Amino acid sequence: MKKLMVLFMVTLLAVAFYCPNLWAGDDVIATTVTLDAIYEVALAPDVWDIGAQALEHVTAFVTFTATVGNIATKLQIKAADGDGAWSLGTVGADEFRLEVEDPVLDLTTEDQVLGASVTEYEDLGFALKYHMPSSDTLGATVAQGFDVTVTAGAVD
Amino acid sequence: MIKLFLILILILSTFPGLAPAFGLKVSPAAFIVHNVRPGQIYDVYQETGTRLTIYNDGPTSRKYNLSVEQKSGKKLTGYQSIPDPRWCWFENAEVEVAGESIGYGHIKIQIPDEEKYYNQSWLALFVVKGSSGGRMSLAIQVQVQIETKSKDSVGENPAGIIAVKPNMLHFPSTRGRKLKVIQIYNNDDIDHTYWVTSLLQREDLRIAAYLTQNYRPMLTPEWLSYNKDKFVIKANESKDFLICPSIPDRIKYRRRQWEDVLIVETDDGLSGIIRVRFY
Repeated sequence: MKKLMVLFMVTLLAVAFYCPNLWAGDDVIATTVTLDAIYEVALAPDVWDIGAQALEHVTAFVTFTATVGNIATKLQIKAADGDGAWSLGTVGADEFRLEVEDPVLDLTTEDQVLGASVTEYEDLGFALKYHMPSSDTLGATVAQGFDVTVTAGAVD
Repeated sequence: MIKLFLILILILSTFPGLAPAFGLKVSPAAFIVHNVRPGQIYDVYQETGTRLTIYNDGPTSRKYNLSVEQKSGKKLTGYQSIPDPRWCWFENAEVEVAGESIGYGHIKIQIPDEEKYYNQSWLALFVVKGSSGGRMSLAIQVQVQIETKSKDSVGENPAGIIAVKPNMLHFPSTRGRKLKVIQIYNNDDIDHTYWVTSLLQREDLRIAAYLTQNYRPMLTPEWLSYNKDKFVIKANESKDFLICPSIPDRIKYRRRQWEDVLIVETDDGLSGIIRVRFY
């Protein structure tokens, strides 16, 4: 009886060793980390103070620097509509424009490529300019702040 | 009269050279989830130990927004964008991480319980977004490859313009030369030309982005025999594709898990994968 038990255990171990897939349950998921690294991105400065401006005013370009970590990274940029319902687009009634200098872009609410492949530990400089709407129907006291988002992701 | 409008993003006046920076760090940078069965809810951390780690190197507590998006533009060869990003989600859509500390994003997956969603290879972007506290934000997209369970008896055509069934072949031994059959589908309304290559031959692809953990890349693409020529599949039809193992039956090749990934491509730029494993 004891010998049978030993034989059974040896058989089990052999199956486990030679056929590891048999142990994976039918519905068990597994993961493979294909890039075991830390994605890292930094941005300076971390604020953009436009302040109170007149209609049709255009600010000077303000320079920002995005720095990536130890992986070559694609950087994209997008912005949002104003908090008080001004739209991001071209200059118009209740519509403001955000211009990027290099690469030349007009920001939208969808991601656009800032840098297709920023080398690891490299910086990418870019400048933003704000164009006020030509007219306003919502009121001068309505705050129209907006978000700008720089997104890091895998190089295509 | 000139009206002044409040466009204030943040009250601080900044000079770029002196301005503070803020950063965002997330790991891992990419991973694959294998063997996802349609209809079943998975807690990826509970089942595999994999989760997103968010590093807050700053001195103060910070909130991070977590979401899942479809991949637009160019895709990792062999994968298509997940049809609906709502099939994956984070357990908490917002995570607060104390200063100089780390937090976690726990991922859940549930693919609709439909036969056509077996044998799929998809990409989803798991996005972590952090804000400086002002209105300048940073986001990181972690690219996750989601592969649904391989199944060769499926009641309907697998989903996608290009599709394969099954998407994985497993040869339990180096002995024998048993032929296996993959069906490649053209679910488009026009004819397409197809061709199949081994990952091992593709200098344009990073092998580590495809291979399953604990599997070694096959030593040569010659260990698999299949049609290397281009072929046409007519609109809304499928074709059998034969794969025969040619691995030498030597002791040194036994007891090890070998894998190759066959890349199926079409003339319109779409692609799929077939995993082939020994042991």
